[in-house]
Amino acid sequence: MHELSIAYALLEQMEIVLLDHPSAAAVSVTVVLGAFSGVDPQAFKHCFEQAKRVTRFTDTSLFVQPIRPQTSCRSCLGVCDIDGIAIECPLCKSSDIEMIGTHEITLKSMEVT
Amino acid sequence: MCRDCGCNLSEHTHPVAHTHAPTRKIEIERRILSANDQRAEHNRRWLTERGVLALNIIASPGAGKTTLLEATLKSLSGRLQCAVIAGDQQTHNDADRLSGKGAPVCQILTGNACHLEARQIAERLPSLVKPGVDLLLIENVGNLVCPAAFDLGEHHKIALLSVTEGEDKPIKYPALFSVSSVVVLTKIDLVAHLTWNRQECIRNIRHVRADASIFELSAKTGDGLADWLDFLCNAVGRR
Repeated sequence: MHELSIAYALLEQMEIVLLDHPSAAAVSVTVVLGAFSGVDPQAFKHCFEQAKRVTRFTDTSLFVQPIRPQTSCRSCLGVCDIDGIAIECPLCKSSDIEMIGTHEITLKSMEVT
Repeated sequence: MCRDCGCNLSEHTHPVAHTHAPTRKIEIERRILSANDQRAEHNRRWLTERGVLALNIIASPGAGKTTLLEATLKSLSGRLQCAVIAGDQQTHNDADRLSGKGAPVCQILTGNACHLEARQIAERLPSLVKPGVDLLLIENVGNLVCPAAFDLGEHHKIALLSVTEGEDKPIKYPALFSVSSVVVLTKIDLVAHLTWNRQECIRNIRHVRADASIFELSAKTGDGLADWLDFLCNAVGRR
């Protein structure tokens, strides 16, 4: 259940963000999860709801944006959405590719008053 | 988002019997685990400055992590000075097994946590990694998912996969195998008793990590162990 550790880390990061906005209150927070992040969105939401209870973020809503993995090809420079893992570019079949949108566990934005 | 009525507008005019302050969005784009990442980077720098190679060994429970470490410590005695951190939720069994083999051993009990974090490693480094240590072996908590997300400050993540687990774990659990530069296939002495397909397993590893270094060994019989030991010695020597 590393989702709980990540929920605590998120709350810690939210505190750091609000250091620069001392009068703000967090209405919502948006998190991006890569396809291979190893984080289950539902478990993460559940853990966030539990972890926030003892913080000042009790009224803050969590939005999770799963991102679809993509291949970025160094040969044809094409970028393609894929369903899972890929070993070649769907366009030119080159194996000289980089997968993107895979391991992100990112605090994307906060909505504050 | 309006938290009173749930609509996506910060300021709206539709008739809802409430009032709320307008909101604004702060764009951040920061890794949630950035605090752990910073501690891990500090660990890596601390180890690198002392010429220590650190390996984060991750696998399912029962894949043979501790058995491989036992054989590794025994075989490297006199060649490399090692230190070991063993992570488990409960018991000192692994530390007990690894003690008395020429390397200082530290057991970290994580309680209910399913992974080690950089902070736990940082707390142990000064007392465990004394001058003269070449290689720090970190045996993570047995788990194919959670430990992959937490950088400990290692130089390599090493994924172990026992042949009894089948061929498809790399594509079922890409979170780990895609970030592991080295994969060790363990318990190859059991292949004769299984329907395990070596080519398929290696193809699956390459599918998620094309440049992975792959070792095939049995810590029990010693088959294939020499290549693994050479890799360790060469990796330490390059530091």
